[in-house]
Formats: sequence, structure tokens, C-alpha cells
Amino acid sequence: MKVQAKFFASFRDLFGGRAREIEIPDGRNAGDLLGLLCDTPARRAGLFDGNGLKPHLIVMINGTHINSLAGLGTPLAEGDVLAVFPMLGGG
Amino acid sequence: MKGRRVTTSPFPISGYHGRVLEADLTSGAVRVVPLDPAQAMDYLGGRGLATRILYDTIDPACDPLGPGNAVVIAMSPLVGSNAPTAGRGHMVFKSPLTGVLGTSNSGGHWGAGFKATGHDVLVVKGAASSPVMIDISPEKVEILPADRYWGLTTHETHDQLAEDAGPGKPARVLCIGPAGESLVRFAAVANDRNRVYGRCGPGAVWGAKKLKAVRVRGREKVAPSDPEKYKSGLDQAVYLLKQAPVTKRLLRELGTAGLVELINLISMLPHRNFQDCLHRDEDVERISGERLARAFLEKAGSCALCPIGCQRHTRVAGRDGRDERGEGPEYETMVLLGPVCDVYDMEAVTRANYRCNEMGLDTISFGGTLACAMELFETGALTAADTGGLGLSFGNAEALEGLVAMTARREGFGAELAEGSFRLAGRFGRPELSMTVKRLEIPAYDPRASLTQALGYMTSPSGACHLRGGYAVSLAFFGGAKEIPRFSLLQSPIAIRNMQNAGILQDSLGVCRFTGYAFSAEPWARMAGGMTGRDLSVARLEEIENRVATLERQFNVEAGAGPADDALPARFAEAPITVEGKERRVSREDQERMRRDYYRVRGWDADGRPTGELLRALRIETRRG
Amino acid sequence: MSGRGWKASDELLRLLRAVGRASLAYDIQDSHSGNMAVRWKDERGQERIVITATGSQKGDLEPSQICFLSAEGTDFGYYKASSETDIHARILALPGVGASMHAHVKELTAVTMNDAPKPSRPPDFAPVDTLGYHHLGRAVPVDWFAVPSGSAEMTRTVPDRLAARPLTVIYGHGAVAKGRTLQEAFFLLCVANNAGAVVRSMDRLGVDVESLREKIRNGPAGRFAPPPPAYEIDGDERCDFPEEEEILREFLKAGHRIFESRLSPFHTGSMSVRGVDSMLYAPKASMPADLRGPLLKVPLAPDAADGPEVKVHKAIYAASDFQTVMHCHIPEAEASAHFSYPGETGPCDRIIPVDAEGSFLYLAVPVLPPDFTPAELVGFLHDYKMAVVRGGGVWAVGTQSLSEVLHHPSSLREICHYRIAARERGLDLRRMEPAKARRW
Repeated sequence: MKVQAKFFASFRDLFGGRAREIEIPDGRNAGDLLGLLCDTPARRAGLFDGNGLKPHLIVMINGTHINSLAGLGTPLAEGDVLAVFPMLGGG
Repeated sequence: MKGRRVTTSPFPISGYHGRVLEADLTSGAVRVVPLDPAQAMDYLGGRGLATRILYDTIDPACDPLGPGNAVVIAMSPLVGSNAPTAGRGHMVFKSPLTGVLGTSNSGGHWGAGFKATGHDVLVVKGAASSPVMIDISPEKVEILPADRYWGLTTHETHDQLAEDAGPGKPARVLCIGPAGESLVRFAAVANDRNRVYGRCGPGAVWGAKKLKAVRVRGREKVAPSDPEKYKSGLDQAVYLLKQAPVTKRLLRELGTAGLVELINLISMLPHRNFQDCLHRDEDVERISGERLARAFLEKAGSCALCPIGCQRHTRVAGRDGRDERGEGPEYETMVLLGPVCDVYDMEAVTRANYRCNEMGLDTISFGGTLACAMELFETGALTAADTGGLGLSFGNAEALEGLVAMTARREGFGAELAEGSFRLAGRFGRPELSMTVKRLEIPAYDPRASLTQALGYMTSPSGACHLRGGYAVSLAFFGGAKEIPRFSLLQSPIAIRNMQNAGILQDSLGVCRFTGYAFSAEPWARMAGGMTGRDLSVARLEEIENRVATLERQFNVEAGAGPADDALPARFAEAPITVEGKERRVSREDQERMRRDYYRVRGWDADGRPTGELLRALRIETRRG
Repeated sequence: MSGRGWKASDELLRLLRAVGRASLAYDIQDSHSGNMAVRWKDERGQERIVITATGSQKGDLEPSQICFLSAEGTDFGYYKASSETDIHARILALPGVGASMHAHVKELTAVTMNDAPKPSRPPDFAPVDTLGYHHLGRAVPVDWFAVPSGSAEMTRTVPDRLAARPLTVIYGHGAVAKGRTLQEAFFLLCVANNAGAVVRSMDRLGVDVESLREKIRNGPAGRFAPPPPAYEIDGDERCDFPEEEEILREFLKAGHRIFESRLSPFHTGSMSVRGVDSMLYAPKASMPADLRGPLLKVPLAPDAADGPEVKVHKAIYAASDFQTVMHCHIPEAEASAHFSYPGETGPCDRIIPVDAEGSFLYLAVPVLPPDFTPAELVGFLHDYKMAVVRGGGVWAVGTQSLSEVLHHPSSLREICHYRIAARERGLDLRRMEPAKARRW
């Protein structure tokens, strides 16, 4: 299936672009996709802390925070958009 | 401190000079009134103390543009210390835009500059018959003619007055631009050129008083009464600001506009006068903080004592092709002048932002009013005949910059815009198209996407303001540990009360909202307690927060506001937006329940009036006796 | 596979799997140790005894690893039922018992070992923490067996011990608990392990455990806060606020974290979120995945029927603006609250972090005596967000969310970890603490 990954703020530099469309086997989840995207030690270090996500990181699938879904185990479907943000502030 | 005089003021509490400077522009008299120590401990400083003094000075039912209104600006016991971000002032007045309490806060360096003149509070009463400025130093205070500055922009006024002050310690200037002079109801007051007391129209109150500027210069200091306690809080605060990613790095890198993409992704980014929250991705990218940082940002900047550095010093190509430099846009400006007007042109928004700063206009209310005009135009309620031939359709980026100047000077159709969206929509027969609460334009977060934010807009003392009403967005999405549910009727009233109270504390201590991303009240309690040498435990601060909130309400009740004013425009109850696949609105029943629960949480009666019992418990003296 | 075959129902399998996984997560089993037995009615209404297969991985039970005992004989299935089958059968024959469980409660096992020549009967274990004291009793027997696994001697002794008490220790081999439900047996084992962890942390800190035991013997009332609520077996699935989906999720997330991060033993502690005139209340805060506790909506107004636990929640809300409250039993914190600095008399009145993050987040964490008043507690919570009650667990508050309040006990466990380790390594805590922390 085809899914899209979008990067914001400093993650654009880390992943070399704003977005990537990526073909993954059916049945994969958010953690699998992030694992695939982190194909260098630097990228891995940017997102992961051991097997879990780093704190102060916002990962959303179709606009919903994965903490409100099944975390890294959230299953992906064709056409899903996964977004990676740093925690932001403003007002 | 080499060669500097540490104040050995007779005032019994450290951190205060104990001096309230009162200028009566009608009589031209200036006097210093001693600060009441009990009042200082009950209301702390900044917003709390200013509101108390305003309440004691004016009749809340007064004409906001008449001489009966007053402007009160107060500092906190931490202003003048080295506490991080503690250089902010707070200004209160009766708002000519909303008819209720006007309450506005600004960074910059003027606050610390004023405190250094040896005063804690400035009260400006009455009205002059010709333009004046107030010049304040520890040695003397003068009301001077300001005819030669009248008509100048905020930047020109700032630069001229600073230069005219001559050599020595730099003078800090707080002033209005042409918008304030022409009584635009959402005119701002600016310092450091681009740091503004923006909301609720303080500039118009200054303009009505013919007050162009207040220049300050001084070297008076404050010193903590218990330096070790003060320093323990300071150490903790500084450490945590360096730890938290938002305050350590992200605000400096992206500024507040870094929120644009995220707020869009969570379906909260308003569009076309809040008709929906739907945007094309490529459009959002064009107004994102990432693009701002890449293409326009020259450097980040900071207010007094701030390690965060969220200011955007930018450069953009002017319409004549020459580069212009200025500040911004911030997130709110980007969205209100941008997608809310269906504009995704960062250059146009940035230039309009520059003009707003120069003219002294609140960008949120200006953007909201313009979007309202655009919807009136598209529905035919407003025609080219009314606009002087101007095609005011949504997406008209070209018109933005010119309309700022027209509004600020009340030229042509600008005179209609200068009244704000509530009066504009009413005048053209479609009052429901004004996206306001208590006549104040809603900021750049759609209330349908968070019930807590909705309740914050409804119950903010100043009308729809994310800073006075509580910034629920940060809780829901960026607070890390403090995330709260977006759609919980049960949790919203207390969550927003606590958020509002946190804001009251920050505003009363003269510190920045963004410190809240790193820590809450405890370090402040130690810094304020160490500075004053008094019991300012977190429990005491909590009591002060509740006292201030209830006094603000009391002011509004006496100004004539009631439960009907604590409501969202019909659009948000009737037309849903889609959030995470579900249709969301803020139904009238939900508003009613949240409002009722919020009053109870505050200890107010069913009509939102503070009860006599509460007023006694909080030791709030009122006129009703 | 035997043809007699009544297969484990989905519900039963889910329960055994959930408790099995939780026991591994709580680190009271090795990969293949322990066993669980329950009385269960099959689809014909016939009562069966169900027991996990010997050597099965309790973290990943398969349907074929569930064995059945009945009057006609035991269906051992493909696997062999636990070697302790007879012990479980005898325990389950005790009146009112619906389940029994054996687990390698390492912390308790460790602190009940001694070097006396065997055979000999080791001394009873006397808990020094409030959970252990109130749920297990003031003395838990410890029996030494020549063959400490499935022996005839054990089959005789263990059920006899459990006839009079909820849990008994097998020297060097963990403990066996009975319960009305499997959850209750698991709860007791977690409480027992926690009681061991408290003593072990005290040992490492140099707290004089024997003299503390002496004091408890002489006057338990002055040593513990009001007792924790008795274990309820009903209503674990109850939820009074299904419409508050987001808050519900927050409760479950926080509950999982409390359990998995060992901030409180299974189904102990409590947490709440305050509404305008009611609070949402989890009386069994420590909830692993698939083993929920009740989620209740309780009026905020005081009620004569309120137990001591609910009373504290209500008292905190009545005297503050806080929106969330959490109560946990962290063994390291309980031990740290009993610590006395060398040369000083009496236990400390604050826990001062010596690690970097802890010391900036919490300059000090106050320790209250067991007979604290709610007003004192609220005062400390205002200034410190968290307070430890000696003999009464850790209380923490938040202004907005459960996730916020959770951070406090979670940090405290780390803070105590570093202090205990430093002391164990012979370091001088006073020299490591910022001097001014004594005044904060």
C-alpha cells in the first residue's frame, strides 16, 4: 500500500524534504513506517529513544495524535498521511 | 552594582517602589500617591494591581472615549529584577471596542524602563485638549506638548522621542500611531517600535486623551529581601527554560508561526471568516513558519531578560521592489490576515503586518474585521458603492496593505472598518457575520475544534482572547504532560479556569506566557516570595488569581455585561466543522452547560455575578457595599 | 489432545493471559515459572478447576496450555498440568476460594532468606508498609521444604497455611496466594512483592528494619496512615462515564503506566479528575492492560459513607483549585521516608533529590507523618505538587490532567532510586544534596 509521510520544522532537514510517498506491505503500522524512514543512525536518533518515540515529538496520522490511537502500533491503511512535528508553542 | 543607587525605599515590601504616579491630563497635574502595601499583597502587581486601581479610579459604566475613562499600567515586584522575561507591563482601561474591561499585555523594554523611574504604577486620567506626552525620570515627571509628534507612526514617534531625549541611559518610548489618534476602536499602543499592547483598543483611549507617548528613563533598582530563596526559584526557572524544547529552541527557530502547519493538521486553522477549517496543503505551506524562517527571517529577537527569543525580524520585498525590514508576522497575524481572509500570500501578510505595527493597529481585530467585511461583500450586504469601488472579495491580498492605512486614518471605507466587525456587521444588517465574543474578534483557533478553547473565549474577561481567556490549545497539543481532552464537557470548566488563573499570575508578575511551556507557579512563588520577603506560597498565589478573576468580573458586571455576553457567535453552534472524521460544533446546550458550570467553579451566581459571600471571602471591596 | 475436551472459553483465556502477562510485566515470574488455578463454570454449568500447564510461558499462554480438572479425571491436554496441581486443588477446596496463584515474588523471596542451617523454620515475615500490613497481616509464614516444588510436604502445608491467611511464603521459591478471584490472588502477590521491595530498599538505605518492626508491634496505629480500602472483587468493569471518551482513555493510560512502571502494586492506589460537583474516580489506580478496575463518578460533597481514601481526594479538592489527584504506593519512596541521616535522630522530613533532573524539578519532596491532617497535606501539595506520607503512600496533584499528575510519582521513583543507590555505595547523601534544599 502507498502511504505518505510529512515532516515539519527541523525534521525537514533531517529527512531531506517536506514529504515522502512510500510503498509498504499491507498490515504495517506507524512504528514500522517510522522505522523504515529512519534509515540512518542520525534519523533514528532524531525520532527514537530505544524502541519508543522521543518525548516532545508529535506524530499524527491523518491529523490525530497517535497517542489517541494505538501509539506506534496504530495500523496504517492505503493513503494514510503520517506527520512528524516537534512539540511547538505559540499564541 | 557599580555606581548605581539601590533604592532604599521606605516602602515596607521589597520589589516595590511604593509609588503610584498619577497624571491628570485635564488639569495637567501630576502627583505620586503611595501604594497601599495591603493592596500590593492582595493584587501583586501587573494585571491584578492595575485592575484594582482602575476599578477604584473609574466608573465601569463610563464612556470609554470620554475623560472619565483612565489608563492604568502596572509593573510587578519582579519587573526590574533579573527574573527571566520579567519586563512586561500590563495595561487596563475600559475598552472602546468591547464596552467591558480592556486588558492588554506587552513585552519589550518599556516596562523595565518605567520601573527604573522609581514608580510601580502609572495612572492616566482625564483628557488633554491638545496632544501631549508624559516624560518620566526619577528626578522629574512632566506633561509636555506633543503636537510635533502627532500624526507620526509608532516607529517615527519612537525614534524621534528616543533621539530627542539626548545622551545617557537610553529612553524607552510607549506611544500610539495614527490609528490611536483617529480613535480606531482596536488601535494599539506600541513600545520598542514593534511590541504592542494590542487587544481591546488601548490606542483609542490614548487618542481620546490626546496622549501620544510616555517616555521613561531611570536607574532605580529593586533587590530581593531573601536573596537565597529568590535565587533558588531563579535557578530552577532558568534550568527548566533551557530544558523544555519549546523554550529552549523551537520558538527561536520557528517563531509562533511554526504553529500554522500543526494547527491546520488538527483542523483548527480558521478559513474565510471562520466558515470552515479547510485549506489546501500547498496553500498552508506558503504561510508556514518553516517558510517564514527560510525565506524572510533575518534574525530572532528577544524582549527584556528573555532567553526564549521568539521575535521574528524579517525582510520582505516591498511593492516598489525595494526590500523592507520589520517584525513578524506572528502566528495570529499570519492567520487572521491570511486564511481567515482567504489569503495565502506571505509577502502581502508581512507587509500588512508592518503597516499595522507602524499605524498602531491590533492585527487580530483588523484581520477579523476585514474578513467580516469580505463575507458581507460576498453575500451582497456590502457593495462596491459602500467600499468606494474596492472589490472586497475573499482572497484579495492586494487590498490588505492599503486598507491598513485607510483604516488607521479612517479614510473612505476605512472609517467603517475602524469600528470593528461587530459594529460593521450590525450596520450592514448582518450582525451574525461578526466573529466576536463581547465584540472582540476571535483569534486564530477555531473554537469548534476544542470545547475548552470555546469556553475560554466565552468567559475571557476581555472578550475572545486566547491570552486572557486561556490558551487551551497548548494543553491539548503542545503541553506534553499537560495535555487535556479537547471535547470534554466535564473537564473544560476547571481546566480553563486553571489556565486563565495561570495567565493572571503571569500577567500579574509581568512575565511571558511562554514560560508556561517550561514550568508553572512554583518557581515564581519562590522568586516572588524571595523578592518581597512575604508569604507568596502557591496557595497564596492561587487566592490572588481567584481574587483578580472575580474583580475583573465585577468590573464587567458593573459595566453591564451578563451571561448573554458569554456566548459564541451563532455560526459555531449551527455550522459544524469536521475534526478527526467527526462533525463538531459548540451547541447552545453545550455552551449553556459549560457556562453554568464555569460560573459555579468561579463561585459566581447563575447570572455570572460574584456573590457577596465570595467577595467577602476574597476580601474584595466593591461599590455595591 | 483429549477428546473429553471442554476448551477454555474466550473469557477465561483472556483472564489467564492478562494475569499471566501482568505478572511478567511486574517481574514476579521468570519466563516459565508460576501457575494459576481458578474455579470456573463450563457451558453446561459444571464447575471445573482450571490450571495452567507446567512450564508454560505465562506471558503468552496458548489455549492448549490450559488444563482442566474434574471429577472424572484430569484433562492434562497436550501439556502436563502444573506439578502443583494437587496443592491448587486443595486450596480451591477451601471455603470461599475461587482462585489460587503461585508466583516468584523475588523481592519478598530475597528478604525472607536466611543463612541458618536447614532444615529449620525461618522466621515469619513482618511487613513494615501499610499495604503489606493491612492486606497480608502482621506476620506472613515462611516455610522451608526439602523439595520446594510439588512435594507431598508442600501439598500438606501450603493449603493449611492458606486456610487462615491470604498468602504464604515458600522459602526460596516465592509465594502462594488464594483469592475469591484470580485478580485478588494476583493483587496479594503484588502487594507481597511490594512489601519485600520496601524492606529491601530499607536495607539498602540502612534503615533499622527490626526496630521499626518492634515499633509496629507495639503500636501499629501510630505507624500507618488510615488503612487502604479492603480489596473489592466486584465491579472491575464498571464505568460511570462512558460518554467522556477522552478522559476514559486518560485513566486507562495512567493506570497502565502506574502498574508497568511499578508506581503502585496491582489494583492499589487511586486517582481522580474533578468535575464541577462530582469527581471521576479510579479506586484501583494501578491497572495493567486488560485488567481494569472500576471507574466511578462520585459526588464531591462529603458523604458519611466515604472511606479514608476518597476522603483525602475530596479534602484536597475542597481546599484547592487542583483538577487531578493521584495516590500511589512506591516502595522506594516508602523506604526513603523512613531514612535517618547518620548522626541525626528521627526519620527525615523531606526527600532531597541528588540527581540533576530531580533536583530542578523538585527542590525537595516533603515527608508527612502517618497522622497527617488533610490541611497539612494540601498545604504541601500547593508548594511541592507531591508529598510522601510515611506509612501512607505518595500523594500528588495536577492543575489540568492525569498525565500531568502522573509525572510526579514517576519522577519520585527515580529520585529515590538514585538516593538509595548512592547510600548503598557508601556515599554521603548530605554532601550530595544542595545545602539550601534543607530550607526549601
